[in-house]
Amino acid sequence: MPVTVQSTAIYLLAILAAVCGTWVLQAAWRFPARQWHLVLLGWILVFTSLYVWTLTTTTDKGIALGIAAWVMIAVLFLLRSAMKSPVRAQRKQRKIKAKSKEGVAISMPKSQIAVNALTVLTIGPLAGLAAMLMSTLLLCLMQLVQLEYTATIALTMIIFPVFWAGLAVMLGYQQRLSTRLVTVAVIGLGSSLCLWLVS
Amino acid sequence: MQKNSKTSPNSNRVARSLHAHLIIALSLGGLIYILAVTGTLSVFNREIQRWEQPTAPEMGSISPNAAARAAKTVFESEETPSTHLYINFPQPDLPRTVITTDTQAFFANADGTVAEKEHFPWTQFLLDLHYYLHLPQVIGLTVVGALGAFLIAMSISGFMSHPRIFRDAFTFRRGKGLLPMVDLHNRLSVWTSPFHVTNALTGALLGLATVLAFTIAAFNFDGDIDKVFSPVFGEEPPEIVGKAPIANIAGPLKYMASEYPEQPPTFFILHDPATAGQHINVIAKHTDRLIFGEYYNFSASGEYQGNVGISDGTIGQQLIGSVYNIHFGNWGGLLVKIAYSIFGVLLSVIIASGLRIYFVRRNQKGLYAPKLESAWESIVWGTPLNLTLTLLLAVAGVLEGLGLVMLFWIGLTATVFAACIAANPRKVRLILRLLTGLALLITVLLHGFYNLNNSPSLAAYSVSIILLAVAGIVSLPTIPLLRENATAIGIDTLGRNN
Repeated sequence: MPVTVQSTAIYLLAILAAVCGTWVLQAAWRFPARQWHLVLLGWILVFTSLYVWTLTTTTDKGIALGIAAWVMIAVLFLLRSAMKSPVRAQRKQRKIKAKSKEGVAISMPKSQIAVNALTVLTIGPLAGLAAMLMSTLLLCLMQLVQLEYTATIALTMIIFPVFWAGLAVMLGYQQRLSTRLVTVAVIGLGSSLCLWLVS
Repeated sequence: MQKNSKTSPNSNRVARSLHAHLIIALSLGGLIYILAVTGTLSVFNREIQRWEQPTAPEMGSISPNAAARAAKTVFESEETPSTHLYINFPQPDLPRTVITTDTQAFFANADGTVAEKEHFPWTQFLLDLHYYLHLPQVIGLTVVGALGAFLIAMSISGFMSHPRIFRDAFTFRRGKGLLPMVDLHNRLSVWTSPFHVTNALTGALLGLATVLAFTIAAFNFDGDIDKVFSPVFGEEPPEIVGKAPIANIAGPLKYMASEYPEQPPTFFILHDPATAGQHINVIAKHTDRLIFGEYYNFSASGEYQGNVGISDGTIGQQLIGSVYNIHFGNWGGLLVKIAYSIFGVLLSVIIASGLRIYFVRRNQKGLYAPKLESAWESIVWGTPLNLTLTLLLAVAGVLEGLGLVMLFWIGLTATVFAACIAANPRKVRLILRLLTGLALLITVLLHGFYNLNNSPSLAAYSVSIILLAVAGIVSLPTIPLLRENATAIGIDTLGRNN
């Protein structure tokens, strides 16, 4: 947008809405009991800011500008919170007795090292392979129902890392290595089977 | 993890989410940290290029005839004809014209004569580190893309293990110790999540696209990878063998200037130059959009054949076309770049503080691991130190290419080993910070000395000033702390004697 009095006013309005929205959210946070009306007002102002940013340019770039501006404003509010809070005097540290005689961490048994390595392998490449097969299956299913191709490829490109991340969290959430291995095997083999049937 | 019958479902969920968060952090935190630091620096890769090679000719624009003259001169000078001929046009943050072939790149003067060769070894080293971790291209892209996916996983598990996310929304205690560090980590993670989740996702998208394309092609297109993305970026015309005079370069550029004056060209690509099958793409910027640009296609004679649709085609095309700019922050000028660099620094702080919290908690339970803790500190501060050392030697003209790669990785490994031997995390942190500051100072002074007779641009001066400022911020606070350490027995922040 060319710089004019009107455009400057719109930019300022967008920034002001974001600042006010964040200020209201912080005010709501200060109350001991949840103040839903203030929380709602705060988010309305933040989203209004995003809308006003779209008036300065196209929708996609406007929203991106609005989010970048709002995150900066939120960080400044955090900085202000930090500067205003008193510096806590550090408690006198009590000497904590080390769990081992040498005062350093007890070294891990070889079996635990193997379990940890297999866990990383499961969450890493194996989960990645399973996620890739799931994503490809999703693409094939979307093509079966004749969704527009570029939309399906874009969605698949987004879904693949999200699937991988979700799987990694799910596997890390589980407590036993055997459960993790079974989970990733079921998902991976199941996706492969479905892919073979569909394609 | 032991089961506790008295544990509520909520605290069990938090504990297990934290466990998932920890597994990823411990196994991949170092590499994700390197990506965060190099990504932050890469935001200003164009400014760093201008700093590294300040003598290259700069211009606001170049005429179509001059660009064509320069391109033909470079093409005709090649012994083996190039399969592609590129013209990179001046941009606001990189006001230089570059003619690139398969094997070399030259700057062009505004009158179309050819100037010096493109030579910014450190910027190239930095970009290769961020894009590929210096691994072979497809493997490196895939590994880096996977790390992006794991950063998303860290965000998911982090949110799941943060039950007081609303109650603590603006809590930020100051001081030393565990609680202020936890506040720093949690508050920054939550409030900058729109940035780091988006960047992790777009980075993963870019990195994993190739390996995903292989799989999709195998199941859907009989292994033909070109068919996966051709509906998005346009199909390659069929190859026609045989020689021909070089295509009309100025014609398409003049057409763009007259028909699309609001869309300045960023790249001119001549495929298979001087062959019967040669064809032209002009990539032009849409400054009001997030897309990297639109492809305008021309025949060899300069006849316009339509655009691909990145700007006005399907939603999928426009979305995919926006990924690159969203990731690298080059969609909104200098202010957006500054915002991205601040967010990148904050992401680096989040990662560094996360593992510090882990070590403090271990120490509180008596499970001291000074070697491991020192190793982490050596990655946090060894990365900027070794990046600075590579910059210093590149500026000095001593190393480039593979030499810089080896120096960085061998240097970082040696730093980690030395830190493990020292087994004193606080001392490691202070010494590495001081060395980084000193190395930065020497680099800037050396660069200034070598360019005494040149007239660097404002961007180049700005880089020097920022490097000096960073040197001061990083190293000056360590001097009084190192003096204390020099006289006392090494006592770290938790009161342990080392």
